[in-house]
Amino acid sequence: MAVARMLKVTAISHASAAEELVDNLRKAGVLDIVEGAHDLPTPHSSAVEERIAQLDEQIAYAQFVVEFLGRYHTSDAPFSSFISEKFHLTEDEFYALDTDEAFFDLYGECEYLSDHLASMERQRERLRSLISELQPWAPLHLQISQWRGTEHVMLLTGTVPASEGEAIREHLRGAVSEVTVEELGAVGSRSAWVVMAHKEHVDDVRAALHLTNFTEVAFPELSDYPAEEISVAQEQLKDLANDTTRMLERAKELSDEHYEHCVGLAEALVSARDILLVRESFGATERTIVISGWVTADKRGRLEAVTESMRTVVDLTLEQPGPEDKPPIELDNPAWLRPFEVLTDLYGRPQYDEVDPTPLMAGFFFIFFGMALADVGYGLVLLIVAQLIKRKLDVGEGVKRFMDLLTYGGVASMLLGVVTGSYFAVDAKLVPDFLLTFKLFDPLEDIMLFLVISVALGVVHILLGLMTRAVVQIRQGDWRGAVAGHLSTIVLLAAITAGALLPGATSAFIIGGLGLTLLLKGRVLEVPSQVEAPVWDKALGWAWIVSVVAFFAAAAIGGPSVVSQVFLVLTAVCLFISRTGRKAIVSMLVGAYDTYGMSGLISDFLSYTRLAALGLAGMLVGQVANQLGTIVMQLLGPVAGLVFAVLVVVILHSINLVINLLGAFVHPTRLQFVEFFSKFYEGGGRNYAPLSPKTKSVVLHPQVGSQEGGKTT
Amino acid sequence: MNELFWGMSGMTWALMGAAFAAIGGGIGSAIGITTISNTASGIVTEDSEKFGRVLPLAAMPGTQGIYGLITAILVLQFFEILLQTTAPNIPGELGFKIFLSCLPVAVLCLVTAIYQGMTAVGAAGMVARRSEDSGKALIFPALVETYAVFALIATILMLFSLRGIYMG
Repeated sequence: MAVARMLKVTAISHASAAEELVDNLRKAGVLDIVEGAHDLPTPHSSAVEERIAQLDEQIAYAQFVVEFLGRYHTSDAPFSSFISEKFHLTEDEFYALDTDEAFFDLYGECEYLSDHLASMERQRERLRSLISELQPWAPLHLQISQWRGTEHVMLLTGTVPASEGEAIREHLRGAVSEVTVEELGAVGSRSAWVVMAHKEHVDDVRAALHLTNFTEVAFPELSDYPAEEISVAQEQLKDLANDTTRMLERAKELSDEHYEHCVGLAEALVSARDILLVRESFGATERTIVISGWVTADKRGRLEAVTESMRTVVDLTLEQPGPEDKPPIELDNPAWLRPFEVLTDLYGRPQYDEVDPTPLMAGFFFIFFGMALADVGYGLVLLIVAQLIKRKLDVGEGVKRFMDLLTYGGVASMLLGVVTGSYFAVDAKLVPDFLLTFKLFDPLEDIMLFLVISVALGVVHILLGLMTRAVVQIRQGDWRGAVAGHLSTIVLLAAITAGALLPGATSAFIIGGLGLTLLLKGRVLEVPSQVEAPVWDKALGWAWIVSVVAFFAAAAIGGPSVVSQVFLVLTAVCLFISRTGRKAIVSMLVGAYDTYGMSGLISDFLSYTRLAALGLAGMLVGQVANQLGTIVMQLLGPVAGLVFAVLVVVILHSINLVINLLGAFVHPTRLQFVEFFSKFYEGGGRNYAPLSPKTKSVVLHPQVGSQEGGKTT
Repeated sequence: MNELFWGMSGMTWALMGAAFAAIGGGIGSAIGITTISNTASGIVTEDSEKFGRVLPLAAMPGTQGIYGLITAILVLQFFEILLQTTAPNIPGELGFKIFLSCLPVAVLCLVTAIYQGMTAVGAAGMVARRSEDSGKALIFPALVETYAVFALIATILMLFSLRGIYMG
């Protein structure tokens, strides 16, 4: 049982000391505060509500600044596009962060820059489209202000689809004889036209054009020659580009100077708000507040230490959880097992009174992973890469733990690789002999052996699951349930195994084991004591049970046929006249049904063959990578060949490793979750989440020399 | 020895089996990955930090393509076709049996990869909503893959047995 023991905490404090108490609890970082543990109303304080509203506003400002400066922030950390950047602060630095005048100045400047950059972008768009619209009119030596025409001549500017130009022209000439069309150029698929006619014909021209696809174009806000207007717009664009560059440079400067500070500030503000919001979980009376929660038994000292100085105003009670309580779950395993907690957390932590599956599955996960990626070379690469990521990159605690799990996986792959003699899937003939000293078998030659080993491991794995469940039931006092449940399953499996191992006694073990399993699963022996019936009735029931046992014994070891005749007669008699007998027969049938249900175990066992398949898959693709390398070398000669062969081999092996790594993690995990956990484990426990700042990008370090009440990491 | 079976030589049958396996697995994986990748791209567009969490899901239907490739390689290797300079001696009947042995992978890898892609879409929805559940989300598509793995085992066993019987 590696579920940490929990203590239920009730802290009653004078309302005036509430703030100090919460602050101390936050510093201790060990109390998991729960809601609804009492029937009291939540404390109401308008000052706190005001402060929350104020913080909400400041958080919005800070997040805006972080988002704006983040656009111009470049991280120099390696692999920064894959790993979210972390900022390291001491706890004191973090809590000292607050909005000040400098921050509001910065906010103002960011807002100014953001608005202007957006508005300049809009202007740029407008000017660009104006230039492209003006472009076809550039050859027209007529000021735009003159496009209205003269005293006697009307002038129309517009575009027509280039393909219809000729037809429109004809149509126009047909309608009005005195008309001139000047074609200037193309605007995409349309041609730009200047149509001139005598003012007398203005209505005719318009009417004629109205019936075509002529679209009138005008630039009412412009007055100069089109070419002039284009160059003015281009000049403006240039100015805008200069302004934008200047503003972007300023934004970059601000980002370099303030981004880190602002990320910390935004998270500090969110954390400050969380600390205030946690009050909604408290209960309040007129003068006191009540805080309920949980602390792990080994950290109670830290909780007591921070409330020690407040003894006069705070009453702290610690008690063991009752049967109704649902404490949060903290896993407590030795350091070497902790990486495997990643898997338990993936499925969901155990209930408080449940077994922590971590120690049970760790060894199996290790072996399964090794089998699915059985290669010394791949294991070594995995181990090195996982440790490099853990040690050299600024990654979170969760990632570090996962890297430790992969390190274990790497070691397992190396060990299994030694056993199967696989070194980057190189042909066994080329591997030095001393490396093959511990080679036990070649998976490609002995596929059956590899499959059998996989299934055998599966049988052991599932038996462990069954036994764990039985042990838990016995511990809870339900030994009958344990016998009728998984222990009887184990009996049948043991009988089948014994039968398979001893060819002379196969049927004896299997029939005997089956009979025993039916009796145990159906709880037949308990029937006579449970039925209320006359003595003769019970006696008949017992007689039937004895006859069943005798029947199976006779069938197993070859007894006289009279035994089965007696059994049949007794069965018929009991069916008609004995209540106990009838109940026993029904129980036996129930046992038979439950035994039939065990057939699901067969598919569970076969499921483990995937380990062999994955191991083979990795090895075969690895071999192909090596063979392709050899071909490249043969084709290109010794020098260029070697270079390209190394390139091909490295790339193919890398791809193979990555793909197999996914399989080697997912499939052993599935075997744990689906085949193993289903035998004994429910999960669904709530994670222990003590009151402490929930930071994302900021990593907090305890203040050097002020460990008291600080959070150790 | 190189007699024909239903009009085709043993090597043709064997290569057809290998090709079917590689093609079936490849098509299945391509469709499966496309299905999940469309969803995954949507999720990453909304929240680029989820890239690392949805990538394994998008990669999962890819394994069927590899199983197809492995089957093809096994056929080439077991029956001495791979990197040989002379035509191998595969009787027509053996070739046909090799072809039959490749069918579990050819068909099941095609089908499971497509369905795994669909399952992964649901799982990706889980990741989108609760990124801490990304580990759990991997398990559901893995359940579908079981049958591709079993098909691979069936094919490997059949090819292995055929090699034992015919090639010694």
